[in-house]
Amino acid sequence: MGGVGQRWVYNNPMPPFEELDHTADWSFRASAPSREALFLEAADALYELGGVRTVPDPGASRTLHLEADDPESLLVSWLNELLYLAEHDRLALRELRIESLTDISLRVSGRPAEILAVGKHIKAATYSGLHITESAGAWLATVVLDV
Amino acid sequence: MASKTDFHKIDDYLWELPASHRGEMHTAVRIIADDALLEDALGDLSVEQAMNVASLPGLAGRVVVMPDVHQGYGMPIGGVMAARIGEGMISPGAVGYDINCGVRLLSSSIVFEEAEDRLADLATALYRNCPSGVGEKGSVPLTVDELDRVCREGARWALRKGYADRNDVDRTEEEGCLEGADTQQVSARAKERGRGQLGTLGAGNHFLEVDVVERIFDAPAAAAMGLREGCLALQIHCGSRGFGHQICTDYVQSFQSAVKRYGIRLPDRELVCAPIDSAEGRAYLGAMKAAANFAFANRQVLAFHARRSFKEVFGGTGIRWQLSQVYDLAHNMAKIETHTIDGRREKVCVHRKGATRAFGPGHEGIPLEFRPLGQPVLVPGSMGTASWVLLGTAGSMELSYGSCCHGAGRVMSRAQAKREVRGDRLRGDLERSGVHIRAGSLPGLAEEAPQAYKDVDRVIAAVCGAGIARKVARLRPVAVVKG
Repeated sequence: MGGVGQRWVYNNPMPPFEELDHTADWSFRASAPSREALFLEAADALYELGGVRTVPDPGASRTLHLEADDPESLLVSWLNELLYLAEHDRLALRELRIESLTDISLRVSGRPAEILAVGKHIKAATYSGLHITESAGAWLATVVLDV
Repeated sequence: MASKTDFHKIDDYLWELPASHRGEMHTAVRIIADDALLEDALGDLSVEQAMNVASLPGLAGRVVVMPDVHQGYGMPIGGVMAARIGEGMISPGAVGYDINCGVRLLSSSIVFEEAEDRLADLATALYRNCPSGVGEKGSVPLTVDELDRVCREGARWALRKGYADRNDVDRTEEEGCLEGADTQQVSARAKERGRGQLGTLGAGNHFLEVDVVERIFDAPAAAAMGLREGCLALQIHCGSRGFGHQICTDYVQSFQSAVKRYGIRLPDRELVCAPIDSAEGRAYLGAMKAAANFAFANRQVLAFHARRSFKEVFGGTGIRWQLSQVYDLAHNMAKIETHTIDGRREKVCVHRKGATRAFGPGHEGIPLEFRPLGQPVLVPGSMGTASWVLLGTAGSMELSYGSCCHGAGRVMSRAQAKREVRGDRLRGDLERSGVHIRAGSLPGLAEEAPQAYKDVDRVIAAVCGAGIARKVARLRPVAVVKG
């Protein structure tokens, strides 16, 4: 069963995401060795901070295709797509695999698992202070979540 | 960054950071606060975010910040800005994801001592009858056509369907309906999310709270509102649920290209905006009004379920259980209003993010019975601490575009609250102090711990000291229901 304290979607060789202090909302900093891994790490942070728990066996693979104007918008769209699936369809995507990722498009597949419980309601991923940066092989993003 | 020495102290409760403080600022930032509350505001990025707002083009006057201010995303929570209709902007990010998040207060003649033994049952009934939690389905599933009607009519839809009485609607900001809602500007996905969520509380900091009217400061005003010392009252705090969240998400995303088209430079992309009088601006305003009306209807349906809960518990006991509306108002909204700014009457788009409308006496936007007094202002505290009922004043019209604070305001991060507070222990402490708690999430409860918030009495002293509100009544919680 996926849940708090477990690595959800990706075995990141870098330190996992870090929850940052934020007065009203939640914020996390994700780091990863590639942009693809950064998107997976951000999904991991979203599910873990949200305390998402699912049934043990995910269903058949499902593919998402997202487009946006720039890399930051794409990351926001990706996280908001996961929030929509969680709230509306009560599904979390497990075993995520990025098929393609550019500055403006993302194609990703995962196995949808029914959500049994959510610890915390996240309304949306925001653009506040969001920048995706790359330095010395490390990709970083700091995201503020409206809760 | 700014420090306390950068502010000009106008009086004991009013501070100004001049526009010259940072090059991009077009106008000054005024903070309503005492010394300690100003220092709290400087403890996170609240002031930085207010300076970002002051950098938006087309503002009609100063950015005003309430004493419950704290860091949000884009605009600080507790921020108010007024944008000129001609050259000013409307910003979905500044309004926020929970469009028309707001508070409703209902009064009763139930004497606390007579009801005390039944409060645990009342908390349980409210928790059972008012669906709460993430993605919880409401009791009023809607077709897309019916959802459109909710969006156009707001609380009036609820009145037509038997979920409200006339007094409820009359005593709601804008009578529970913003004219000009345009559901054609709402995405199919938002409608899909909204169809199943009418009459739900949600999670996070939303709550139902049973209070005792502990002290009355203005007897005629309290009497007009139906508030009686020693009697129970009920607060409902929630908004437009996933429907509003999706509308904001859609427009924050689509406006990213609009800022490029209009050549707007933003200090924070969450402050994304478009000219009010543009195709983009009009589309967002129409969609925002749809979400606002959904929220008015949502709080009304929750009030219907709350009344059912009171009847279940007190019906047949000889206690008169009926609840009467005091007022319902929004604290996340953008509205077209007319204000006197620097001596000139001007139509502006007032954005209130974590700030309530607080019109002064005589304003035509206030229900007739309250008009000589001023608009009722509802300021919920944190769990376990007081809430306040205030009135808007002539001072609020002069200083804050007819606005006031919306709560106590956080002072501790959610992460820190989770580290320092255990939900089960907090629930035990609150129960021992006489507050019945029904909560879906203990970690969520911990994040909302009273120690994570400012002293609400101090915040009230600041708004009253600044002259933007005056006291009517102080409420003490006895039961809290959270998602």
